[in-house]
Amino acid sequence: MATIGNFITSAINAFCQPSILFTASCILFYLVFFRWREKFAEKKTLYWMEGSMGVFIFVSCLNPTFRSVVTKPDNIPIVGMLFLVVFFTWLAVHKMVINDRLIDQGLDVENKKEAKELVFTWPDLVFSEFICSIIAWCVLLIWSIVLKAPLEEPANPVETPNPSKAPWYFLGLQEMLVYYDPWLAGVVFPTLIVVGLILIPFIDINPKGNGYYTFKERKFAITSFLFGFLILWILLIIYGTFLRGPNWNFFGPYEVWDLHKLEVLKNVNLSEYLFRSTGLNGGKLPDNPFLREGLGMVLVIGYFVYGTILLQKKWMKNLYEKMGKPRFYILVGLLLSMGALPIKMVLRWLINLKYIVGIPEWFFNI
Amino acid sequence: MANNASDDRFYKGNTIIKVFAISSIVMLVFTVWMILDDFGREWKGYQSQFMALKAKKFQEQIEVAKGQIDEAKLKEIQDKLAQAEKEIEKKSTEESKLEKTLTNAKTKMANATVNFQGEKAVWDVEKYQHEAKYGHKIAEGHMELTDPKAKKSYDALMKHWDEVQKLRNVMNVRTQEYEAKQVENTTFFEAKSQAEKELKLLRSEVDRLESAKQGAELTLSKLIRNSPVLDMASPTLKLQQIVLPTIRDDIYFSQVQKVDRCTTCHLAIDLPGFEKEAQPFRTHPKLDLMLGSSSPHPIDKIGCTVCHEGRGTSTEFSRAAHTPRNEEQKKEWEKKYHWHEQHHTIEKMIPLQYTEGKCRVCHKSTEYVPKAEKLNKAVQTIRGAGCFGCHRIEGWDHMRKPAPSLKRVKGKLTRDWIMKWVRKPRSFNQWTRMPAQFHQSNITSDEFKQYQEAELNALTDYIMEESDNYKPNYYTALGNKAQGKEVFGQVGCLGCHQIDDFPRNRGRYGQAPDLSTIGSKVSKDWLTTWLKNPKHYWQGTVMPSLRLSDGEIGDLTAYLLSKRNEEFEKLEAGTSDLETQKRVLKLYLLRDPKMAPATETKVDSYISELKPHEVVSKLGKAAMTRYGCYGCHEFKGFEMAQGIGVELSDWGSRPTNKLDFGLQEMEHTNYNWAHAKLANTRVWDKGIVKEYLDLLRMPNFEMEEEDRNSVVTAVLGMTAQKIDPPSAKVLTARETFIEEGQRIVHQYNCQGCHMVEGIYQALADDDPNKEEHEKHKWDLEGRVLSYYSEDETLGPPPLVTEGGRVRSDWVHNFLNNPTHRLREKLKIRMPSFNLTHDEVNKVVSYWAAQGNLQFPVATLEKVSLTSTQLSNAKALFNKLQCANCHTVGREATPSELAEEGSSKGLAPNLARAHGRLNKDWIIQLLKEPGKMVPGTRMPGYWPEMQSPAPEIMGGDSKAQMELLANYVLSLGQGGFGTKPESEMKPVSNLSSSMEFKVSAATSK
Repeated sequence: MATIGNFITSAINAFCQPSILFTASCILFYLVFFRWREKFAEKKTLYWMEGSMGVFIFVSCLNPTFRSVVTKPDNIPIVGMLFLVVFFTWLAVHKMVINDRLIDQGLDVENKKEAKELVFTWPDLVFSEFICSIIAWCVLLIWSIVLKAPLEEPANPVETPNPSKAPWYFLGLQEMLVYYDPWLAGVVFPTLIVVGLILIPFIDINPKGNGYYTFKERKFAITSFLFGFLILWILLIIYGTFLRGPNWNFFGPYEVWDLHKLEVLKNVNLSEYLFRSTGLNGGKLPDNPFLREGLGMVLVIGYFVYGTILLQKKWMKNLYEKMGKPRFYILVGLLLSMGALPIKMVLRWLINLKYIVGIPEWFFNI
Repeated sequence: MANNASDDRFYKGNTIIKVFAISSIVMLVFTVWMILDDFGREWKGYQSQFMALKAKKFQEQIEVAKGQIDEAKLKEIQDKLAQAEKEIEKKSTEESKLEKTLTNAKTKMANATVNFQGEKAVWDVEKYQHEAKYGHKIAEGHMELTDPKAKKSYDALMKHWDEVQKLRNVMNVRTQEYEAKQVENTTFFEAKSQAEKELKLLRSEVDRLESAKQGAELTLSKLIRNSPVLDMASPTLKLQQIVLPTIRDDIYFSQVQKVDRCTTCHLAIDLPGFEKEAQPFRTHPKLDLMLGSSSPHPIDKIGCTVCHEGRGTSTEFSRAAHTPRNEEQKKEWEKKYHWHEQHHTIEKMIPLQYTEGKCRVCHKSTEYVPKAEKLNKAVQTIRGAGCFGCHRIEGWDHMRKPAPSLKRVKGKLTRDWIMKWVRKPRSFNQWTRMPAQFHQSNITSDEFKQYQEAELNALTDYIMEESDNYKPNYYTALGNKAQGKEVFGQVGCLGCHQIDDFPRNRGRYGQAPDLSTIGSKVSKDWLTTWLKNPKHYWQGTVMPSLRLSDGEIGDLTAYLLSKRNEEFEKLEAGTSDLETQKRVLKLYLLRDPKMAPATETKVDSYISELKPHEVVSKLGKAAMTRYGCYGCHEFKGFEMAQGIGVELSDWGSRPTNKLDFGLQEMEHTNYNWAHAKLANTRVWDKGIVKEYLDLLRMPNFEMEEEDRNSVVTAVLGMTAQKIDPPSAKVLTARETFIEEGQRIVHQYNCQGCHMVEGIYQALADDDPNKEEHEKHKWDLEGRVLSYYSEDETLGPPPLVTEGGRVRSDWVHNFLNNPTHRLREKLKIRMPSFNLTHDEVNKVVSYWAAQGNLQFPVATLEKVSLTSTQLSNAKALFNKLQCANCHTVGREATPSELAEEGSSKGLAPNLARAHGRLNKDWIIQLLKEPGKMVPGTRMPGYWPEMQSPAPEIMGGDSKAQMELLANYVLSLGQGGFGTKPESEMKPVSNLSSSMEFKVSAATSK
């Protein structure tokens, strides 16, 4: 029994490695939205998903490490959030599938039917809102009574907590710091995220799906947003909360948070690959950063320029024609920036790439 | 409209109203829950409990007080009261009349008063108006009072004044009338009020307690005052806190006043009478020393967390960072208080058994802290173990190195002996203090074992090579072993040394080595020279000369050389080959900064050029540097080198995460760490992979638990906490003299023989710990006295009141030349320490300061007695039979000395008092001999100032004692007492006919 248990826990620990779990999540994302949508939208699936998540967490709590991480007062709301994310994702897909069927049959979508049945503001709406606020109030009260605020000692500059974690909603950003420098992961990307979210209504000129759920009519918008939200945000929060331990090392869900755990850190810059591995310039790195990082700069610029051209001329030709230049370029810029994160992650996992462009003397590293 | 609209409603019927109602009720419930959760603090429960407890205590006291009231007297007074009341009842008409007239008079008086005061107020206003109108002008000289207008106004004012005066008279008359009526009334009721007064007086204690008890009882008004929301005004249950403005807590970016709220629950901590209650209501166990208002550390000046640590501001059991004493208590707390570790709290409470170390936070400037027995024992352990040799400790810099010098070791020991000894010191003597450096638990592979041998060989060779030559210069024939043992037991060796023929009376870490196996260590000639004059071999030793005769040295040497360890002698010294030594040297050189950047070839070629003895010497030096032998032993070339250990001055404040726990499973606390480290200094290497030179290298003390507890206590008290005067202890000039002298006393181990400070205090006879306490009687002072338990007076005299007893010049002479005996019967000798002038002066100043003497030297006054005084004194002297024990002007004869149980030769020659003793001290001694000289045979003749000879001088005890003191001082005047010390009779040789009184001296 014990060996089977060990086998299962170490298998899960191994599966949760960033490279494996991230890739698996991407595949699952594709399958759910493009292959198994109908199946996923069934109520049975929801019960099964939430149920198995609950069982998984409950059984895993037999493991002391898992239990201590999951039951920390800081983390309990995040566990709750996971159930909510699954539920709301399912709910959206569920409605999409129903509406898509109706659209295929040339019928009104559900919301449109409802919209024709008017109700009064008083008492229905006002009461409903009031009841909601009361319930929210009750939840907050219970929460504050049962889970005391995890206050700590006055900050001590010589003894910082290890791991030092951001508030849970910023853990996705903190996880990005593993792959990108602070100026990118901490400044540029968050700015782009906020700006991008603000711009959505101006970029999105697709009139369909207004006021009702649909997938078929808004494939691109929904996939690109949910990829960013579920994979690049929620998944990274899960990493930051449950799977990053002391020294921001990766720890499997059942792995003891050992302060002394070491991971191999032998990340290499692209320029070092270029000159040292190939023996170019006698294996010596040029002093001039432009010469040294030339390849990296070309690649980065090329990614944005060629990527834009490719999308404009080939893969998103129709969209380009519909949207017009300004909208399209902004959209592409945001999309390519979003894509930069998974690309760098993959490069890190595959070839231990540290920086594509590494100019530490100017604090400019990509 | 409503009816029509109902059809259009989204929710049919009253559904939404019902949901709303239910959710509102739920919200109400939760809101109430929240208020109660916020209101119901842990400490309120404790305070209510304490109120009940207090009421109970008061009730008990009331019962006691009631029991103390004289029943008969109470009855008598009550009867009297009843009688008086009856009398009054009889004259009821008179009583009512009296009452009526009294009321009448009072009304009249009140009316008259009101009339006067009213008119006076009007007059005051008129006066003001007059002054405002004319007064200013007159004052400034613009007008005269003779001015008609002013005059008119003034006259009117004065006329009105006469009327006011009349009213005042009326008021005074009415008052007098009223007072007269009052007197009448009082006389009428006198008997009754007298009885009432007496009754009150008799019951005053009970009444006081009853009102106090009412204060502690729960009443409706208290309930209301303490209810939620209303408790903001004036609750009876409230936070208690002690604010200490001069003691500051460091919260990293600023320093704040220390605030201790511990007394919110520990309500009786400074109140006597709760000693047996359960926590948190127990009184502090040492109220006379701590927290009591008359103690040196009153609660409002010291608070709680200065000593105990913990989070003083918190009022919850766990959050206050209470720390359990042991596993058992931890389990109990978890069950009882839901206790859990406060991971984020740095200043956790120190487990109770280590608290005493925290005295050091304020008491930094003395070696020992008065009354801190545990800490003082810890200081002795650290001295003995020599921790400060390698680890610097603030305040310990003046200490000499704890182990013998190796500068001339070649002349004392052989290479083989050193090898075997260093390899495993306890194989030579199980009681040795020397820790083991080689072949410890972290040397696991065969390769490393070989390296250790290589280093051990090289180190020994290096020690021998660097040692200067030494040749003993005193030779004598070996004497009698049995007599040697007797000498050992008698002359005072046991004050510092232990040997297995005599019962052990101290742990491992004493002043001087255990001599049980000395015969396997040193040569005869070295030993005889050492005994004759220790400073010949080592100038810096604290071993004194006992002025042994040749015969005694011969006997002692024969005895000590017979104490051998044959198993040790049989051990092999062991060898190592040059190749291994080169390999180890290479390891060192690869890290040598002088070789950096070191490559294998560079180091190899360097080594290949070395001659074999150079390899050995270089490796020996490297090993000496790495293992830090020089921390404790003086060694040529390492005089200024720093010890290898980390500084311990603020070790107690070191965060736990800065300590290496290796892979050991244990709770991460600094005291757990220190315990494990001291038990096995290499424990953290277990299971860890390291290079040879990275292995832990602190020598292994393998400390026993008791010693570990001591060291941990002391070390936990060494913190970075800065407490400034006035809260910290600052020595006065007098105390500084005392401390400096005591440092000399401690260094030469005077307290090994003498009771110096009188630290030991006997417990009361009914104390359950008495027996255990007695066992430790000689732990800190006068250790050698444990061999004289049958008769302490045969041991070294106690010096507890030495300061006031002897004159400074006498002390100076005596320390420089202690050859003449005061108590001829004692076998134990005051050794010649050959103190430096500075050291002697410090001891002299110490006694002078301790006895509040005039210093440096008071005039030696001549004592003259009149003939009456002389005859009185002689009569007293004879009556008290002083000469039974004391000799006067002569030495005790051999027959007197031999007499069993006689005090002749134990009591000093009285002719020596002049020039030695202070008069005040003699008087004190006559009054309370046991207090001035603990354990003395001298009887107290004036118990509670009752004279033993009422016929002399009218039985005036004070005058008698003074006279006797003067008489004693006059005895040696110009005679025996003032003889130069050099003419004194030297120490008598031991005579074997006298039996040595050591209780278990020959037991082993």
